Amino acid sequence: MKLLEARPDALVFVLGRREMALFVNALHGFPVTRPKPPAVTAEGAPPNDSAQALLEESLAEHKRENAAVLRKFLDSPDHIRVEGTTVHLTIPRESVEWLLQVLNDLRVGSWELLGCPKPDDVEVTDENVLHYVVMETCGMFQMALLGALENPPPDP
Amino acid sequence: MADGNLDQLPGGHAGNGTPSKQRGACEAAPSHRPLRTPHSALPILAAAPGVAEPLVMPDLGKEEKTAGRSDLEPAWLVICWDDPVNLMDYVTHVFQVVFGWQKQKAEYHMMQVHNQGKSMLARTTMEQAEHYVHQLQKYSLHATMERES
Repeated sequence: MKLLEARPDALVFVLGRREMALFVNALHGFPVTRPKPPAVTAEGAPPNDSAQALLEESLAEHKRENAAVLRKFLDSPDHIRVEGTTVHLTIPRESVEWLLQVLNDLRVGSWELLGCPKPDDVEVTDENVLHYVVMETCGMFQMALLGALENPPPDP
Repeated sequence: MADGNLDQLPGGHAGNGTPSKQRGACEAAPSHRPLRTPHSALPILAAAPGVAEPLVMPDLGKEEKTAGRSDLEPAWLVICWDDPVNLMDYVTHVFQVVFGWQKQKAEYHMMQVHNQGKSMLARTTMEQAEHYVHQLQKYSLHATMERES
């Protein structure tokens, strides 16, 4: 995934076809059902039931919204265009934040499904290899997106 | 407390770089000085020859200060915790977006999370702390809030 063009309205990336398939397949896994819901207070702190419920409700709603936007994004021919052996992926600048959130939800969720290992302690098996691939794939695309954001839009 | 050096940063404490739409609760409320009658003002020189009106001196006595809203309300801390999965550049980016910080300040807190296991990102009201925790968790960062002891 390489940045082809940083337009005022969008970032255009070029990807190999297999790379694009990896990207789309990873995104189809959203949202990941996390083994344990995020907590509003630290472990061991006294629970605040209403705040915890509010957080869970807010995150669930946010994921539903992101899932709807993602479906639209993947179905739109404006964003994905095949060019010979490569694919041009156009990401509107206003879509970068939710896409980063989606990618990180997939990455963190996959990591939790792997058992929250430290980076050097990942034991890949036939059962968990897909979680590992999704975690690493999403990290790679996150870095590409963040790197592209360093490129300011050109002056009009 | 992990974050003892916030004041050494450019921009001061954690709330200083917050965008205007979010910054209200982070800032110390202005101290309200009540308007009051200058009870210690004394008419002097009234009897002095050639002086028709009593001269009222300004009240230079000790001013009463009303405690600001932030002094009265208990403070809540927003804390981000380390984990081995969130990418360092990503965490820096999220801090910039959620708190409106410059990259240098966001990187400082990201490194504090990385090296010390956690970083205190804001000291604010309960409502604002909840807002920040929600925002950070929408980015899947491990963030919590706790009452300041």
